[in-house]
Amino acid sequence: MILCCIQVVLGGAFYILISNWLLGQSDSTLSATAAQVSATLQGADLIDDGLLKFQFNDPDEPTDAFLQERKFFIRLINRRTGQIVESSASYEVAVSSQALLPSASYETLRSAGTSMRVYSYPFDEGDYSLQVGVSLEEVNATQAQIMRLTALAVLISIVLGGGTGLFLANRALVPIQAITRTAQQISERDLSKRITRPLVDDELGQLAQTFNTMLDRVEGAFQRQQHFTADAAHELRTPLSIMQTGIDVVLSQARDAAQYRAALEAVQEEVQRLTSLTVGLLTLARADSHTLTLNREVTDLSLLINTVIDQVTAVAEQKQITIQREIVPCLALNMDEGRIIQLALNLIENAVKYTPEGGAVTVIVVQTGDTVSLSVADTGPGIPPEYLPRVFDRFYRTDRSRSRDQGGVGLGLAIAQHIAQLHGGEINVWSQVGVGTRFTVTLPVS
Amino acid sequence: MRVLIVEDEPKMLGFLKQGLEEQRYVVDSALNGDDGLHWALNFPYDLIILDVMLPGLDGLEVCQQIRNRRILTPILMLTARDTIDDRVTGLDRGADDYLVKPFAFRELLARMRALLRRDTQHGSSVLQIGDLTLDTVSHSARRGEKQIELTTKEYELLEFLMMHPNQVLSRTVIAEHLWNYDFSPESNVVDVYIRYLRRKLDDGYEEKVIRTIRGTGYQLVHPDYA
Repeated sequence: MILCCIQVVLGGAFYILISNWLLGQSDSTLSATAAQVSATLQGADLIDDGLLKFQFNDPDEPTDAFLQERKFFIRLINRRTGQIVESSASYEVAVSSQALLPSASYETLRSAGTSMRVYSYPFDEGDYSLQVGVSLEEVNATQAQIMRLTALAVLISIVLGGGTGLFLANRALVPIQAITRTAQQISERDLSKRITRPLVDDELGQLAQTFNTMLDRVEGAFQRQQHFTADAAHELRTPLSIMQTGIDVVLSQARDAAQYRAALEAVQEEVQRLTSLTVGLLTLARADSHTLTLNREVTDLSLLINTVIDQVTAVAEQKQITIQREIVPCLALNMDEGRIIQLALNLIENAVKYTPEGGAVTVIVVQTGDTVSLSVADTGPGIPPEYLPRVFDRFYRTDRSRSRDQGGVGLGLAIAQHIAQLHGGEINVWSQVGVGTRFTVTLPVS
Repeated sequence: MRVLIVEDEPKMLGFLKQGLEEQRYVVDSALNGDDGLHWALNFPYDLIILDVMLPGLDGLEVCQQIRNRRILTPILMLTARDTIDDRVTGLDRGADDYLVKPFAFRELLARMRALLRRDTQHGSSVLQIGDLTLDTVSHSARRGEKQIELTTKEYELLEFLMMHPNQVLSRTVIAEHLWNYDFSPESNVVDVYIRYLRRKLDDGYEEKVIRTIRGTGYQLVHPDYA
């Protein structure tokens, strides 16, 4: 629309410029002719005998016919009386007031349906006015032609421009519409849809690529979330179903006290498992929502680890497992004591759990530069390499049933990793099947 | 009725076994998929209860392999996963029913009864053949108006016979369905139980419901077909 207006305005301006130029052209022709005529007439005694004889280059050609052919007229007007003294016979044009002014002037007059451009020029010391006129017929015809051509050009350019614009806009919109359609089809039930990439690597191609990459990330996150939810549901349902079936069966008939006691003890164990599962899930939920905060204070890490080992020793001794300590004394660290105890307990208890009877667990605490590292190594069965990258995943177990027998809920390592990260540190695992597993936590000193 | 339970939670398995035995089922049990498959392929069970999440072979694979061997024993799957996909996969792999943990033990029993009578001519939990009726929920039997008191083994035997009316059942087949792996009796033990049952069912009646097929086994006679 705006484009149309601009084109029309430009077309109009072009037409006006050309028209004015054409008029200027005829005006200069007129003034040149007037100068020529006036030079010819100078000194002639035309006034006396009242006869005006214009002479042009070709003396043989009758002047009137010559003028007529070129659509000119020439006449002399008495400025005082306003009467035409002499005139070529070519055109009948009324005398206007402008012709009687004492200076040269141009005007456009009408005569018998034709526009005439008339140049008035004071002559013979201002007593007369010499007028040269030319028909604007040709100029008008040219103007009309230019008008038509301009209009046509404007029209064509509007149609072409509009068409091209529409075409380009469509071409630009098609991929956007495709993106919109794809976006509409994507829901939590189906995140697999992707945008077919446009062939060109333009802004839209990049947009589609960005969109697809984002979808990959969202789908990945969603799958992990679904996995986690399914795992969590499974972990919650298992103790619940043991409790429900146990209670149903025991209550289905009268029993003696020992049977009730055995059933209640089984239920008690499951309640404890549900409790630690709930606490673990809550801790992770708070870590996820960044509401898990640390209560840091400067604490002796060496003393803390030694105390945790003392705590676990009783269980280890039952399995004839020796816990070897290589702990640098007095390592002060600004940390959340409770969380670090949780982390250390988890790693050392795990190590004892997975070490067979008579094996060894080694706990090392050292400072290197500005980091402190705690490593816990066992002589257990080790973790196959393909499982290693996932050991910190929630509910991930290489052997589900075995670790459940040993009271694990599958969240300890995920929580340990969170605790290490919250302290600005990290946790890593090394393992070899048949040799053992070593977890190393590194924490910055400052 | 002999039932196999494959469940990896020892406590869950213990409660299920206890509960089902108290309901007069003969129960074998396995703690993992490989053992479960071995039992299922080698013994004639009337029903298999299969947990989906198992160490080793999982429940879906066990189910599929049982079906691949053309064993059509009803399979009831137990699972702690309850998405529609999980249930559809389980049923498509050959399970006959699906129960999501935790479940009410009564519901498990009802579903087992429904599966067990599916291929019989019985339309409800009360089995009826002629004037003989057996309530599989209350475990009570009657002949006509007369209430019959049965011991656990007598009940199991009568239930098995009534589930297969008019079929000639060999002593071996009966033994396999009435005792689990821990107790494999000589087949003449079956004869003793048949004798107990006859005393309670047929003594004083003109029409005898249990018939001996010489050299082969026993048959519970359906009067409509006799």
